[in-house]
Amino acid sequence: MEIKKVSDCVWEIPKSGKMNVPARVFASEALLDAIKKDNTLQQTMNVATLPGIVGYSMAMPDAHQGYGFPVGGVAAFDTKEGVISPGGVGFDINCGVRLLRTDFSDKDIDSKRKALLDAICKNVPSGAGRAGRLDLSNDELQELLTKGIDWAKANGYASKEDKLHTEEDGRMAKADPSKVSETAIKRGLPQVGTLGSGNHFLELQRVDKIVMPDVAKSFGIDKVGQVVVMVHCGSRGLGHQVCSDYISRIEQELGTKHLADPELASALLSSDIGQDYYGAMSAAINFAFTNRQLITHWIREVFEKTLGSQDGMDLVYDVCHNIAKFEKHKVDGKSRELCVHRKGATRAFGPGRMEIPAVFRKIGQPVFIPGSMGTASYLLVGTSTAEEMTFGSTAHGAGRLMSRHAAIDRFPAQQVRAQLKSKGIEIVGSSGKGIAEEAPGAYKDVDEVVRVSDVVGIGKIVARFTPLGVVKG
Amino acid sequence: MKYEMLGHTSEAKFRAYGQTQEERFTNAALAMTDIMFDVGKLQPKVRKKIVIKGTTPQSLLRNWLDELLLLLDSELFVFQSVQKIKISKLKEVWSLDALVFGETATDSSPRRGPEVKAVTYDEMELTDQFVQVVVDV
Repeated sequence: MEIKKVSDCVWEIPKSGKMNVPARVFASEALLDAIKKDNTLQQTMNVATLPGIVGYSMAMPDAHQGYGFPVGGVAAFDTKEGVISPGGVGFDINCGVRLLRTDFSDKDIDSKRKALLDAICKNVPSGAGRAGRLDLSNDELQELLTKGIDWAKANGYASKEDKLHTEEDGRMAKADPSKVSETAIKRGLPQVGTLGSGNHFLELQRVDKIVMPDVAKSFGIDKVGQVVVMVHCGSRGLGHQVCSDYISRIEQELGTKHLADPELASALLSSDIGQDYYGAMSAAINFAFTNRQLITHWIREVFEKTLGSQDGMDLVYDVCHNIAKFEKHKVDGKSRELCVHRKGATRAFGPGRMEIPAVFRKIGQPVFIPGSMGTASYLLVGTSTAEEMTFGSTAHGAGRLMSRHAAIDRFPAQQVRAQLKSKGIEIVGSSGKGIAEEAPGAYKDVDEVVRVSDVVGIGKIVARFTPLGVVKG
Repeated sequence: MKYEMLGHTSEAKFRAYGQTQEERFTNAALAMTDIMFDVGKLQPKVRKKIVIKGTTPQSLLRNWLDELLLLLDSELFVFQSVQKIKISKLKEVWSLDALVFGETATDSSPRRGPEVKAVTYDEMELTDQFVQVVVDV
């Protein structure tokens, strides 16, 4: 395949075969080399064959092979001729990240760090086959799926500010729980307020470096050494089942033989299946928003109990990684409504967009890029450049470099644990194998991913955080 | 060898072997459980009856593994072994009838890896020697 360099860190694969649009990859040469090692580029080209795709099929700097769409894939579709694809959103619908600021400094919590982590681990259920703390009825879950964070607010788990500092105000307006299968409901019921496992985590971090002090201050980040909390999780079994259900339904009703890959299963946005999936996906999105909000509530409780206060523990923002949304973007000089799929990518809107909270509207939205376990994480700010180049999107994390299986062979858990310890990072709640699979060496270099985002201008670096302690599922 | 794990950048991929389709399906269930729990340390404490249908052998395999994920998420049932399993085809519908053993997950269950989120059709292969599955983790 032909790859042309467009500019620094921007690459293009011209249209060929059944591609409707060219593909674009945002990567440094080092990241591109890593991306070339698996099927990412082919998958990005496959996405370009879907009907109604607009502009480019894109891969963000942290892209790696997924199923159907690559992880780190961004694609926008025309609302009439275009499709919506469950695989283009991913199994973990609204997997996302939120950041809580605190008034504490790393010195304030130093002697209580282990106690904090242990208490959080106990208060926030994690890992496979572990139920949540809430015992919800079917009706309550239906209400939660309809209302998202408004449900959490009505039940004392969220403040008005929490709601306003969440993408979509924490509630997808067109969520339709009647389009969520009974199986998905069964999987979701016991899992409200659980972290999950794998790459999901909850991390205590310290502000290590502030690059843009004014912007950082508007986001509530004021000094080096300040403690922040990052939460990364999604819609759990409910979202996974919604994705599985709709892939099966599309396969049965529309077939997948015409597709470059069966996992690209998709339906016209205007069709019944397309509309039903959008309603079900939106309900799963609300589940995930609420899930992260409940976890936030319990983290605040732990801080209150352990350190005597939860003052100043404001939500900076909550961003989605796996989502399809209707947004207006300029295409060839004209404003058009498009259905933007972000699978392992973060929205990175710049100043002026009505979708972002009023307090940030002059600045641009906060974007969080978590590193792999034990490495740095970043706070970025969205830009107008991102809106012009990537439908307002940037990377979502470090991106895997090697398989979990290879990581287990390469990085013995004990060695990883010792390395983290020597860096002063506590880790709780995880199994040995889980630690090996998520070893920092199994991921791409997050510093490089963020540097590319900054160089291309699709998300500018505001601050860097380093971990103090990790709770893993 | 009952099954082996293969490399896949983001997900988990395995091949499960066996003389019969029933054996291969059984070993695929073991391989999937092995990603999440230490299979050797699980006990056959609870018995479940599973009846699954599919329009193709591929969808039957996916639905079988999906059912085990549903039992894990909704009832905390962790699959450990198969007591009886029979796969049959009537007209165009494939069926799987099984009695399986496992245990109810507790805080002290032998967890060892990430939970499996979903079973995909990505790189799925069914041959007379093995079945290959990529699961999302």
